Amino acid sequence: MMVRLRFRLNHEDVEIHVRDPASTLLDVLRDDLGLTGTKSGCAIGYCGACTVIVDGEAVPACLRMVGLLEGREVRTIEDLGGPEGLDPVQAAFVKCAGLQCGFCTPGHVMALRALLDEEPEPDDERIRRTVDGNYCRCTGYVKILDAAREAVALQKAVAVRNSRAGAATSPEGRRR
Amino acid sequence: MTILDRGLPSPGVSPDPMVLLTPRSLDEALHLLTAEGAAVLGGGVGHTLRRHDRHRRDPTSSGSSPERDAISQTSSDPPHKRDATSLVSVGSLPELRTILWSGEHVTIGAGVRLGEIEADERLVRTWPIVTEAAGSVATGRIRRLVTLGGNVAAGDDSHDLPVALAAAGAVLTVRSVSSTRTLRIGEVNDLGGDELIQDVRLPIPSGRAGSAYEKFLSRGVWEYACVNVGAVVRLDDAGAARRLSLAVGSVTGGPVVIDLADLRGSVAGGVLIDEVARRAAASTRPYGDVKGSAEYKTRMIAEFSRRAMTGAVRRAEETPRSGGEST
Repeated sequence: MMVRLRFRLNHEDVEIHVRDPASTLLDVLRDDLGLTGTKSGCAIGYCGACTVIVDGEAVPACLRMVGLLEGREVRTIEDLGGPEGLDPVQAAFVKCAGLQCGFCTPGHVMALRALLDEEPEPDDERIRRTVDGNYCRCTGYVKILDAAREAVALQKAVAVRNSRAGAATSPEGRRR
Repeated sequence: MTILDRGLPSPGVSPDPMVLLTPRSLDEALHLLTAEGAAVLGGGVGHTLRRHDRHRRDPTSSGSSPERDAISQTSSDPPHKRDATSLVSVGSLPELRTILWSGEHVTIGAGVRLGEIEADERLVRTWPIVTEAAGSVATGRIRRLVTLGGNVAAGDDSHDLPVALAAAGAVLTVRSVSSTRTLRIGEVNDLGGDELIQDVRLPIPSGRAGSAYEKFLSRGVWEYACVNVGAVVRLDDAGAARRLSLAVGSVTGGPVVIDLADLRGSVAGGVLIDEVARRAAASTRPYGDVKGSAEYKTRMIAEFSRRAMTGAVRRAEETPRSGGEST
């Protein structure tokens, strides 16, 4: 018997039918929905490779039971970037070479995306605590932390640019 | 609306799918728990880890194994968790999601997440042993998912909250459709299949009270404890210990509350703390595993009991004297 589940996935309403609602979100994302950007590392919640955002919070998809997602909002790495360009967090990882093999990168990016959504200008301690939840076995974290700090700066620049663009196109802006 | 159908089960998927029930109220949940094979589901982390562990050992079996595992520690599912065919999700029930303060007690709902406990400023002030234990569990992302009730009901001797709560004298309110009763932390394996933990009640400390939690990790980060200890003291104005409590986890039958009754009234100093540490080591039976031999853990129990009690006494001493407390 299949169980029907409905939730928001990357800003789309989705309805899925699962055999076992106790399956993990990670398995469903990768095996059933083909969203393989979310990586399976330790599968016990420690390595952070499978980090996704559920209702605004970064969580390990390997420990999130899919049956508990009814009505919730899920974002995966596939949600970031697009025709307009990379998300500031992604752009920062590229700019700072914050990766080597890249396996852990989607988890890092999603964890930092959730942090910046909640706190656009986190201090270094919060950045470190966030990165602390993701294993990287290649880089030694220096460049990852550089990328995280750069992401803060890039996001701030984007916000300023958007704000100026908004002012320029608003009735008040056009008058100026 | 996108409609996506699941294909064939992947190799890691259980051959015996669970039925997941999501009641809207506590009463509805209690009724659902009366069904054969129904079990309580909190945040889902423990269940997911147990399932992962079983299939890693034996992909063809959904049964439990008596073998103790270094990672997910699922050696002995308590009776209320065995042979479940349906899971009753209670982690989001509003009745279980509050922290309530009265004049004498703080009552923490079983659905409160460990991350919420860790961050509760009033709890940090009154029961640091509890917030420190909550904050020591796994990672921040996991603490967002794990419920207090699930962590306690797992009956795992190395879990952090049960050690802290045992030292603090916590009482569990246990509900079934037909009864309400209380249990101590050490009695959690008496939970019936149709029962759930509704909340955890702690007395609000009075006078010069202090508490501290110590967790020793063999590797340093993100693992289950090698040994874990919680200490609680209350001092009178002369500096004598009027309340003295120590619980030790990661030992056989843990958390074990150490008998310190005859030490009450002693001056809370080095001699007392050494004696507490000696008794903790002498009266617990750690098991050897990947985190250390039993002999090694016994020495660590003494050391971390000393540290926990020292921390608790220091906090109590930082509390202003009342001017007259003698009980």
